[in-house]
Amino acid sequence: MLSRVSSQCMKLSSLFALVVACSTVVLACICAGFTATVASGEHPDSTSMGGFVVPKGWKPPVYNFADNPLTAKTIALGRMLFHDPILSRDSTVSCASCHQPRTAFAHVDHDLSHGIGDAIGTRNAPVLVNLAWKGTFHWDGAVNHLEMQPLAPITHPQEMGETLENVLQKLRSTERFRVAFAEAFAEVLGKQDRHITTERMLKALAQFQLTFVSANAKYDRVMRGEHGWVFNEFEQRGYTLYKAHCSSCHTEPLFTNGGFENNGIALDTTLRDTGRMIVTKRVEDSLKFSVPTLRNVEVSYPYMHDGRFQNLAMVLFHYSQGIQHSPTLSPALQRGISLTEDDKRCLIAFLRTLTDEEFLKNSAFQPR
Amino acid sequence: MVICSGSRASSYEISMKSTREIHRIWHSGVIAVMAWVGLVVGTTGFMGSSAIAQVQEGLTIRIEPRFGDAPLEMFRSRIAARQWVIPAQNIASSVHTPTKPDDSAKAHCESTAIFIPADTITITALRFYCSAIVLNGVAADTSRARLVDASDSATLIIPLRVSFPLPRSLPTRLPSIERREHAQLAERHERPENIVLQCRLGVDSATNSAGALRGDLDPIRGMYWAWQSGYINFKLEGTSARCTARKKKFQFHLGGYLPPLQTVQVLTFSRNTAQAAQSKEWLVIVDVREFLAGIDLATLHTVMSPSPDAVRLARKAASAFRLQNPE
Repeated sequence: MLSRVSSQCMKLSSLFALVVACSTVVLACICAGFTATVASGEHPDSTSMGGFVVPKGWKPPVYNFADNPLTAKTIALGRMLFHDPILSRDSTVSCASCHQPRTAFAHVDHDLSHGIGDAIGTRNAPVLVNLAWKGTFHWDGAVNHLEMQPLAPITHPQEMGETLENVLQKLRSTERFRVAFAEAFAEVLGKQDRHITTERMLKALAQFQLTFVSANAKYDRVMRGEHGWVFNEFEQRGYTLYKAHCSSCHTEPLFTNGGFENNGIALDTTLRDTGRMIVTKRVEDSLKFSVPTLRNVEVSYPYMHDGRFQNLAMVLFHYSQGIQHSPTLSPALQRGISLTEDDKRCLIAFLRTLTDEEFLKNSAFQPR
Repeated sequence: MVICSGSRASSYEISMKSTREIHRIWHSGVIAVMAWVGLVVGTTGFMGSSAIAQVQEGLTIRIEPRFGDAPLEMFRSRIAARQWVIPAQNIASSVHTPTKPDDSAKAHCESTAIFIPADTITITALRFYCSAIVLNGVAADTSRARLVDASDSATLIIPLRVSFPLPRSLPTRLPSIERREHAQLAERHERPENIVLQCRLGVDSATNSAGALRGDLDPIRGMYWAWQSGYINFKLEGTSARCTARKKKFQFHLGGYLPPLQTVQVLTFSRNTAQAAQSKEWLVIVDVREFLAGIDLATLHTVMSPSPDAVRLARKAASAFRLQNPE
């Protein structure tokens, strides 16, 4: 009897203990799982970024989507702003004037871009590709955040020549923008607050530009092993040469290491552009420029920060025979890159596989 | 507990007794849990604060721009700007030069005197950011940063909100205080009866890299560089009769956050509890004459990007701030 009662008590207390133990374990798991998701930040899910999809195998973007998750209406507003010359002093120059969607947002056939009143600038307009993975902007990395970049061309006397105050005032007095701003931020802010502010304009432009993801070139399809997509023998040989000679700076899959390098081009005495040193004031950064992505390089001629090379053949000629030595020359180029004419042809064939037709023809980037 | 075997009555007794036993276990279990919870809460509460925290109402910082002892008026009338006279200055500066390249240990210390002739100036703009305001290390302002504009009196009063009692230690939380500087601050300010007010003159690196912000940090406020990302921590503009720049204008836009050209400064003030009892207002004077002392506006008049000059002037700007305690 004693054993029966005490065994009943034991059963109950052990059941009680078991329940407590189990719930603790479950709670601990939930907490650990939760904190792991929040703290890792390694692979934030698409929903937290507003549907921004990271191509398979790519590292996570550096842009902080938490502050500006993508929404369709805000992207549409960004698209309107991007294509509208109202941002310039005399309403002649828009972002798209120099960043043309059909050519990966580069300004083809222009070594230096021209802005308001045909003023010629000092740099070549770079492609706008995979910006979510870019931490600094402009050839010297002067801009540290995608959202702040538009302020530079908008206020530059040789680009759009306008002031921020005037831009906002013009937007506020234009019906289509009042409507677009109200719709874009209604979800986030509620219908009451329809003000057109600096922050909203910049975030809308950022959202539109964040959609410029290029990951479907022939190269990508081959890498993913898609049926029917293979490199031909020239492209394959070019890829081998690429991995041997170019990857250290133009690293796959973004085709840039995101850093600043001196690639041995001589100083242009008519421009005297010392690159990264202008920003950091450090002598060791003299003549270093941002390593551009090579995605869609075929369509983004001319090349280099001042557009000095008209075509890829000239670029490869430089790397194989034209490198100028200086104290800050990239270590990878100290001994030059020896390439035969055949090698160069194959490399160019490979570089052509980085052209993403889907990206170039994407109607979502065009004005409505 | 007496256990009898056999009869139904005794088995009822047994089941009653076993139910009581179960109840006992449950009760003791519940009590144990409650005691444990109470212990945890009590410990946390004890560690948290030794007294019930109270928010002190009405605490403010009042910033008073001055030129020397006079309040800094920028405009006397709508037409003419108020003029200020800076008398001639003889600035003694020591220049250390090593006598020989390998003799760097025996530096030759030379005293040179720099003469700056008298000048008549106007001040047309004085604006700066105040951020991370703390009292004894406790955050006293919820704003990310405050833009103080000498021409806008509304920005000269900063309401503070903090719970008393405050912890009793010199705040070490603010970054950009180096160890040596921290020791000097501790020596000057740390007393058991002191309350220490600290803030940044400018904004920190995180704010400089955070993207599009609103309110006082909106780029439209004119304190952000479009061509090279970064906030202007301190801006002083005016004219000088001796200035050689266009329209005799001098412009000091002190900014820069990338090492080694950081210009953000930490301001530290303290007062004892007796002084704190006399007034809920921390009166902070910013003396423009103090900032301009020793600057030859004929040669140094335009600083508008990160540079060693900007770093040096930022320190001068910080030294222009002082707390005026009630008598």
